[in-house]
Amino acid sequence: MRNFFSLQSSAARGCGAILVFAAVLAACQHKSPEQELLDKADAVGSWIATLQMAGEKWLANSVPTSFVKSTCKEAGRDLDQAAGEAAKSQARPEVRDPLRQLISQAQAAGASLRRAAAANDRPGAAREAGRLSALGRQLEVWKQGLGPP
Amino acid sequence: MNMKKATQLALGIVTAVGGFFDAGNLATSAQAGASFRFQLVWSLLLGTLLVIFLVEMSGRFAAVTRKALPDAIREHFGFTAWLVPFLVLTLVHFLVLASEIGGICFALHLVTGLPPAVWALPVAVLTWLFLWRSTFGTIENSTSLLGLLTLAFVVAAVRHHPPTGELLAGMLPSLPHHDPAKYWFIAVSILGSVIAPYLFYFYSSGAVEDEWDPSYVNVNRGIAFVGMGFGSLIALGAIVVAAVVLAPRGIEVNDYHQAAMMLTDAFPFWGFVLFAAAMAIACLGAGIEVALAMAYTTAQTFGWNWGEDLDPREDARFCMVYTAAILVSSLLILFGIDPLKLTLVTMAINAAVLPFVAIPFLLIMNDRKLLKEHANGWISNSVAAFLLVLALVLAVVSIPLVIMGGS
Repeated sequence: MRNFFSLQSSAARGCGAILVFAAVLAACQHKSPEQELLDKADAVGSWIATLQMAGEKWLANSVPTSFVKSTCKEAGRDLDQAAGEAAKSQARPEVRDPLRQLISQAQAAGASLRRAAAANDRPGAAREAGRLSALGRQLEVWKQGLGPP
Repeated sequence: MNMKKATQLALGIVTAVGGFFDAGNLATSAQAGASFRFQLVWSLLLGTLLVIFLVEMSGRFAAVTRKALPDAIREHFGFTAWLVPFLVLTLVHFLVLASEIGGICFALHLVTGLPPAVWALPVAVLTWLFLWRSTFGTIENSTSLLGLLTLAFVVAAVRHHPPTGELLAGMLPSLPHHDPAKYWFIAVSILGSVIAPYLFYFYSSGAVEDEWDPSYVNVNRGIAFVGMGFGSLIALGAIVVAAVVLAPRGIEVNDYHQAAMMLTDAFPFWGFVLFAAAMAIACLGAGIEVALAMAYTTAQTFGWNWGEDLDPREDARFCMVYTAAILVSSLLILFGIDPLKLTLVTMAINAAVLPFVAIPFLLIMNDRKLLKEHANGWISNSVAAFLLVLALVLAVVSIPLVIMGGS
């Protein structure tokens, strides 16, 4: 019984140590503005690829229209957030601006894909899927321009 | 082994296979495969090995003493000593239950297009109704048999012919090539999803409900090793499918929408519906188990009547606990909390609270007065010692990893 209580008080001390450790780690997690932008670009690239896949799968009758619409909505929300963060970024303009442009094009392509799926416009959806594929490639080129991750 | 025990063994294995996979396994496996391909398979294997031993111990304990774990821990260490672990575990179980309800709601959103929040209360009522009206046997068998639908991930993985060399290499721990904070966060979350504390409390209470006695020690061993082993194959299947389908496209799973198309390459027509159905059933089964585990633990802690086979009038407080737990958990989803983010953070917290589960559990498993010749031997104790060290390490690193890698 006494052992159990002493284990519990050790656990409580452990919890305190964890909080201190977490605070130190959070404080040490300093990244350059370019690195932060690169991290954001990964999430943007992931959404561009998701939208492209959703479009292609919709064209292949593998997913319903409602899924394409809700995926485009979620992607739009995250891309809006990414656009806001990129706009506030302290990174050099020659690094930041091309990414902002890419995000804005991805937002437009996502919105168009959503409209195309809602209107059952298959050629329009195919066009947007192709546009998203090209945006994905442009994003890769932008990331490579920043050097190794 | 007589016919009754053979049937129980078979049913138990099916239950373990069907009950292994839940929102936590799905979320962490999809994220691991999509972001790091096969590199985190080792984490799943390690978790599986540990959970096999822990489930075996909790079943052995219940069969030999005819007592469930929380009941025995309270009796052994006293109410005051058990109170802190009980409160911590209740809070974690509440988050796990919310994650499972969120998983069902998301699956319904996939099929209907309605927002997940709309489904929160109907799902809560359905889950509650299932618990209120069913016996333990019905719950155990129906959810586990339906849960076999999750084997779709294994079939899909086989259809994709994953690269064997890379898959085998992933079974050994290695350092990540990129994003180390995310890598370790997912590794910890996988362990948290596999070694879920509710599993032991549910399993040991279930063994008492099924009236196991010492003659069931071998049946228990078979269920733990074969059932849990095969169960982890489903999670492995999900890692493989995500690695083969999502990773090459550059899709990372930061939202359930990004995982929902995982099965459509292997099953172009049925893949989407299969994913939704597998997710709904896996989460429903786990949600029911978590709600019951909460009710079992609370009733055993306070010495109330308990048993899913009793009429609700005979164990009103037991029924009240799962009713309140389901209702309150569903509110998190109703208020719009993202189910995937909730699940991932909850799995890391699961890992963080492991010492609260492991310490009293392992102390009691070595009590020779209680367990006699069935107390832990050197193999179980070696695994237990390793688990204890791992649990302490996880407790230290998991919360910082949530801050660094869980965003």
